[in-house]
Amino acid sequence: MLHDPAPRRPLSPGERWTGLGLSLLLFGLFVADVLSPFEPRKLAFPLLLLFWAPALVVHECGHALAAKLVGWRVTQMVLGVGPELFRFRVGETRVVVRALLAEGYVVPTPRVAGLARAKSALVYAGGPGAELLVAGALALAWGWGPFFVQSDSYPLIACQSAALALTIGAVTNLVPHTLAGAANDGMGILLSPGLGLPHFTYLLAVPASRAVEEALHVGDLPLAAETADRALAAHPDNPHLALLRVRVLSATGETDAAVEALEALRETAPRDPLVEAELLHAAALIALYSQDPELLGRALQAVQAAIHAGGASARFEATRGALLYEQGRMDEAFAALQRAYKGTRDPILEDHCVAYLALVTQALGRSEDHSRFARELSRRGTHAHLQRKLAEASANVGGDPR
Amino acid sequence: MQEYSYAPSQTAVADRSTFIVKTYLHLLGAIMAFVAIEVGIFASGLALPLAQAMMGVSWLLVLGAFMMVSWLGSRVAATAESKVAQYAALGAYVLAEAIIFVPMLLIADMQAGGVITSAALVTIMGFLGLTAVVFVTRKDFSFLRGVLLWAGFGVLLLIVAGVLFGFELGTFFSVGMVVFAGAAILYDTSNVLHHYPEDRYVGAALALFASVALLFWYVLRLFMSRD
Repeated sequence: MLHDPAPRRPLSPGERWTGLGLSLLLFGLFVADVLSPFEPRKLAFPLLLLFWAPALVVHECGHALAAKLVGWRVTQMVLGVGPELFRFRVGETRVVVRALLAEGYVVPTPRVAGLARAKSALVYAGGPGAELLVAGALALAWGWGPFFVQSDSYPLIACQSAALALTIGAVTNLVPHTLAGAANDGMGILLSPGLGLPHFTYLLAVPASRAVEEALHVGDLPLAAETADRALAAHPDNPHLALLRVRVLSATGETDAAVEALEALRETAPRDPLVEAELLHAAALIALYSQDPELLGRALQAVQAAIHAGGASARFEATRGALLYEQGRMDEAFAALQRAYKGTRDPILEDHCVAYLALVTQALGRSEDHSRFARELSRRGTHAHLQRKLAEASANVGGDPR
Repeated sequence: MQEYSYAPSQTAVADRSTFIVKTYLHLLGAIMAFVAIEVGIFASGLALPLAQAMMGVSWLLVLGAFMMVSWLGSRVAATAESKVAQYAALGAYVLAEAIIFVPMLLIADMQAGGVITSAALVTIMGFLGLTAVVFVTRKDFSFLRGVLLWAGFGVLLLIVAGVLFGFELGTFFSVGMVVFAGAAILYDTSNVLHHYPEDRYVGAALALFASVALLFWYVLRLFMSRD
C-alpha cells in the first residue's frame, strides 16, 4: 500500500462518492469505538485530529518567523491541501488556505546569498522547532511532571492532546524524507550545509518566477513582462531572472527575439548545472510555444539534456511530455506526463499535465481516462489555448471534448 | 524507471498472466514461510520468552520498529533492481510480521486453540472473495489510495493515543480495521491486475501479504474478543 504503481488521474464522480462513503464508514466506526464504552481519556483521539490544524499553523508560522529572523522574505504560505477556500495578505506574504488542513508549506527567499547555508537550515528547523517549543510550553504550564500522567481530567487531556499533535507533527517532519519530489524539514536541514551558491541564486528568483508563471497562466502578458523587468532591474546579474524575460518573449510569440535573448544569455550566464538546465529548458519551452517543426525537433534533445544536467524535476518531465505529444510519441508522452503529474503539487504544473494528459489519452483512444482528464481540465478552467487544442483534436476525431 | 499503463495491451496479455501467476505463487510462498516461522517459534519454546520480551517494552516501540521494517521492505521490494534485494526485503517483512504476531497468537492459543484456525479460514475466505471481486469486475480500485493513506494515518493516531493515554481499543475499532484491510486488499489486487510493472512480482506479493496479514490480525482480534 505504501508503494503506488498506479497512474495519477482525476477521480470519477462514482469514485469520489465511494471514497467519501468508505471514509465516513471508517471514521464512524472509530468514533463509535471512542464512545462505547466512553472514557474521558478516549477523547484524546478526536482532540488529536482537532488540534492537527492549529499544529500545522504553528509549524508554518515557525518557518515564516525563522525566515524573517534571518532576514529572508516569505512570499507565500499555503495552509492545507485540496481546493482553495480563501487567501489574504500579511505584509508581503500571501497566505492561501485550502480545504483540508493536513499539510502546508512556505516559500522563503534569501535577499542576499551571505550565510545562506546556515540560514537555510535554520528556516527548515523553524517549523518543527516552533511545534516543540509550544508543546514544551504547554507541559511547563502544568508544572512539567504532572503533565506526563494518565488522567481523566478534561483540561489536562486537551492540553496533552495538543502537545501530542504538535510533537507528532515535529517528529514526522524531522525524519528525513522527500514528498512529491520536495525535501521535508529533516532532509532540508541535512542538505542545507552542502548547498552551493547557485542554489540560492535560483531561490532568490523563485518569487518573481512564480509571479511571471501565474501571469502567463492567466494570459496576462503585460503583467508578466512588467514583473520580469522589475525583478531583473533589482538583480541584473541573476541568470534565472534574465530567463524570465526569455519566457515572456516566447509566450508573446516573439520567437526570434526569445532565441536571440537566450543565445546572448548563454554567452554571459555562469556555468553551473542548475543554470545550464534552466537554459536548456527555456529553449525547449520556446520551441513548444512556437510550434515551429524545426525547433520542436531539437527541443526534445534540449529538455533531455536539461534533465541530465539538473535532474528529472517535474517541470522538465512535463515539458518533455508535451514535446513527445507534439511528436506523436504518445506512450512515451503519457509516461513522462504521469511522472510529472505524480511528482508535483504545484497547481500551475498540474494544469499543464492535466491538459496534455487529456490530449494524450484522447490520441491513445483511452476514452474513459480521456473524459476524466477533459472533465478535470474544464473544472480547473485554465489553459485556454490547450482547451482550444483539445476541442480541435476532438473535432478531428469526431469525439466529444467533454 | 517506473512506467505506467492503464491496461495491458493485447500482445502483453500473456506476460501479464505470467506476472499474476508469479505474484500469487510468491504470496503463497510468503504465507507458508510465515506459518513455518510461527510453527518453529512455538515448537522451539521461544514463543513465551519472545512474547514476554515484546510485552515488557512499550508497544509503541514494537510498532515503530515494525513500521520501519514495513516501510523499508516495501520500498526496497518496489524499487530495487536486484532480485536478491527484493527477496531479502520480502523475507525481512515476513519475519517481522511473524515476530509481531507471536504475543497475539500465544494469547489466542491459550484462550481457545481453535480460534486461530477459525480466524485463518475467515481471512482466507475474505481474501478470496475480495480477489474475485477485482478479477471478475476488472474494476480499478487505485482510487482508494487517498482514503487508505489518510485512514491509515488516523489509525496510527488512534493507536498512539490508546497507548499514551491508557485506553483499550474495542470491537468497533477491530471492525473498522477489518473494513480497512478489505479495502487495502481491493487496492493491492487491483494494482496487481492493472498497474504493477511485470518485473515487480516480489513487491506486489509483499503488498498483498501485508494486507492479508492485517486482515488476519483484526479478524483474530475480533474472534478473541467474542470468545
